[in-house]
Amino acid sequence: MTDCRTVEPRLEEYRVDLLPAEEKQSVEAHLAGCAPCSDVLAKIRSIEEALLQAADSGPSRESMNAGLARVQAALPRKTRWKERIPMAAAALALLGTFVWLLGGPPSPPTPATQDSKGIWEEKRLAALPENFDATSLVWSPSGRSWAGRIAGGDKKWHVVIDGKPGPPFASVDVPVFSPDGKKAAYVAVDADGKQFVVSGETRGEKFNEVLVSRLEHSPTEQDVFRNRRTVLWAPDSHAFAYQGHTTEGTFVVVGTTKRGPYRSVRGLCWCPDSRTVAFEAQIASDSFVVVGDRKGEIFDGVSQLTFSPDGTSVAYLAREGARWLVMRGERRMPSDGSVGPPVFSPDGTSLAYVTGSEETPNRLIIDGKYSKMDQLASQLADPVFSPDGKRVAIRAKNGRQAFIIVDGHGLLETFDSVGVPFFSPDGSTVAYVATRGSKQLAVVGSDIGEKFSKVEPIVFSPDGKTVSYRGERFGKQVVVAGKALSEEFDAVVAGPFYSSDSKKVSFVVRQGLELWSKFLDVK
Amino acid sequence: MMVVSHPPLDLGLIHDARGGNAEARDRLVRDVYHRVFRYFLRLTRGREDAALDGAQETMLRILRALPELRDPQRFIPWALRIATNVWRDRLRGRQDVERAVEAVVVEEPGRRLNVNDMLGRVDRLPEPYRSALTLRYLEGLSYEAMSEVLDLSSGTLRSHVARGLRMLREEMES
Repeated sequence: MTDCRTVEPRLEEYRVDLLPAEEKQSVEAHLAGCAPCSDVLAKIRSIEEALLQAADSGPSRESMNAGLARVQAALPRKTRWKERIPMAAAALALLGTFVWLLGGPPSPPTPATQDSKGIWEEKRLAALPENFDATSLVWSPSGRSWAGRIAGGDKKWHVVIDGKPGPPFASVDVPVFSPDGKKAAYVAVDADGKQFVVSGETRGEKFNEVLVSRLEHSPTEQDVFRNRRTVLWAPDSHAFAYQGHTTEGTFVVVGTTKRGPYRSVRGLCWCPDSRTVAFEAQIASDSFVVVGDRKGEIFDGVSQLTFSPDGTSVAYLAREGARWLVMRGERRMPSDGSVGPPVFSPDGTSLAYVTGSEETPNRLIIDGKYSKMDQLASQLADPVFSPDGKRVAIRAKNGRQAFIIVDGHGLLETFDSVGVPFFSPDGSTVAYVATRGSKQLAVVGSDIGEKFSKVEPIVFSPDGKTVSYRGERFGKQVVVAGKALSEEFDAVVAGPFYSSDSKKVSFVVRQGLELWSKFLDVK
Repeated sequence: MMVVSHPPLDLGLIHDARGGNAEARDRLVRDVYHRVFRYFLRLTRGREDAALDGAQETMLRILRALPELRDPQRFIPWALRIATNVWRDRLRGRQDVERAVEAVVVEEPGRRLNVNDMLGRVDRLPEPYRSALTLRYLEGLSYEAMSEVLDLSSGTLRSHVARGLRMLREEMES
C-alpha cells in the first residue's frame, strides 16, 4: 500500500481504527510523505469535528417541550398516541413520492464504435510516470490521448497530457478533454487559493471557486446535485463553460463572456447545437431558467432543465408554492402537484413525465395525455423513449419490488432496485442495471448477466444483438462482451467500444502504471 | 476525539422508576426524552412529526420494559435500542418509502458548513450509515454501546462509520 490510489480510499477505515496493524503502519508511512492524502485525512477530521459540533445542537426547546408534554399526557391514556400513526405514515408517503419523482434519468448510453480510432491490436500505449495520480487518469474521447495530474518535486501539481507536464500550481483538478479530443481544460488553484481555468496557454479569470453544478445520475442510486471543479465543453468543442463564484455571487462564464452575478446557478448545459448555454438561476428569491439571452418566467424554484435533441425547445420543472409543474417552453403542462423530470422523444416532438400527488397515484403523461398502463405501480420514474420514439419504458416500484414497465406492460423479473432502462438501436430490446442485495447485474431483455459489485456502462452493439459493459469485483475490473469475459485489470479507463460490424469490442486498461489497448471477440 | 458529553443519568432514579415510583418515572422521562427525540429526529431524517410520534412510542415502551432492564448502567444503549426497534417496526413494509426519501442534495457554491448543513447531510445518508454516524458522533456512544443498540459487531459498526464518513466526504468534495 504505497500509492495514493490505494491509501486515499482507506483513510476513513484508518481513522476508525479498522485497519490491521501492518496496513495501518503502511498508511502512516505514506501519510508522512504525501500532502494530498494528509489533506484528505484533515478533511475527515474536520467532518468528525463538525459532527461532534452538531451533537451539541438539538431540536428547538418548543418541539422538545411539546413532545415531552405529549408523552406525559399519554402516560395515563396509552391509546391516544396510536391514533397519530396513520397521519405520520401519510406524511412520509407524500414526501417520499415527491422526492422520488424529482430524480432525473441518466442519458441512455448510445452504441459506441471505435473503428476510426484504430486500436484493434493489443499494445502498450503509454507508461505513466512514477508519481502519477492514477485516480486522475482520463482518456480522450478520440481514443488517442491521456491526461492526469502529477506531483512535482517542488510540492506543486502539474497536469500531464500525453506524458508532457504543464506548469506548476498549488493544486490542479482532473483535466477534461473536448469532445473532439483535441483540447483539454482544467481548474488550477494558486497559492492564494484563487481558482481559474487553464486551457493550452490561456488562463481564465480568477474566482474564489470555479465549478459546474449539475445533477449527476447513477444507474441505481439517487441523483444528486454535485459541484465539480471542472468545465463543460460545447458538443462541437469550440468553447467551454463554467460557474465562477465570487463574494458578489455566481457568474456563468462562456469563452470570454461572463454573465451574472446570480445568487445561485445550477444545471448548466449546452444547447445541442453548441450555439448557447442554458442554466437554472436564482436572484434574491426569484428562480428562473436562462436559455441563451432569454430569461424565463419567474417561479419559486426551477429544476431539471432539458433541451430537446434538436435544440429548438426546452422543458423544465417549476415550483409555485408547494406545487410543482412542468413547463414546455412557456407552456404549462398538466400536473397533479408532484412531477418528475421531463424527457423529450428523440425527434423532439413528444414530451413525457410522471406526475402524482398524495391523493392520486403516479401517472405517466405523454404529450399532456395520461398514458394507460395495465401494470399497477405505486411509484414510477424516468420514462425513456425508444430511438424511433414509438415505445416508452419506465422504472416502477411496488413495495419492495422494483421492475420495468415497457409500453404499459410490466416485465416479470423483479429486483431490489432497477436503473433507468434504455432501448437497443432498433427499439426491440430493453436493457438496464439492476441490484439484488449488494450486487449489480446487467439485464438485457429477459437475460440476466453475471453478478458484480458494480456494472457500468451498458452499451448495445450497432446491430443491437449483444451488449458490452465493465464489471467490477474484488477491486478489479473486467469487460463483458456478449458472453465473452476479459481477464481482470486494475482499471478499464476507456470503452468498451464496438466495432462497426459488432464482432469485437475495444477498450483501454491500466495495469499498474502501464496503459494498454485491448480487444475482445464478442461471443 | 469523542467529546460528546451528556449529563449522567441518576441510577437511583432508574431503580426507583423500575420499582413503580411515579415521581421517579416522570423525572426519568424528562431526563431521557431529549436524547430519544433527538435520536429519532436523525432516524426520520429530521421530520419532526414522525420523530415526535416515534419518541413518544419509544418512551412508553421504555417504561413498560423497565422492569426487564438488567443493568441500569447500560440504560442509554438499552433505551436507544428500543428506539431503533420502534423505528424499524414503523418502517416494516414501507421500505419503499424509506428508500424514496433519499433526497436530492442541493448545494449552493461557496457556502460554509454549519451545524444544520451537517445534520442535513447525515439525514440524507442511507441506512445503516446514518444510524452508525448518529450513534457514534451525535450520541457519543462507544462501539461497544453501539453494538448493544444495533445488535451488530464492533467491526461491522466501525466499517459502517468509515463508509458513512466517506460518503460525507465525497459529497462535500463534489
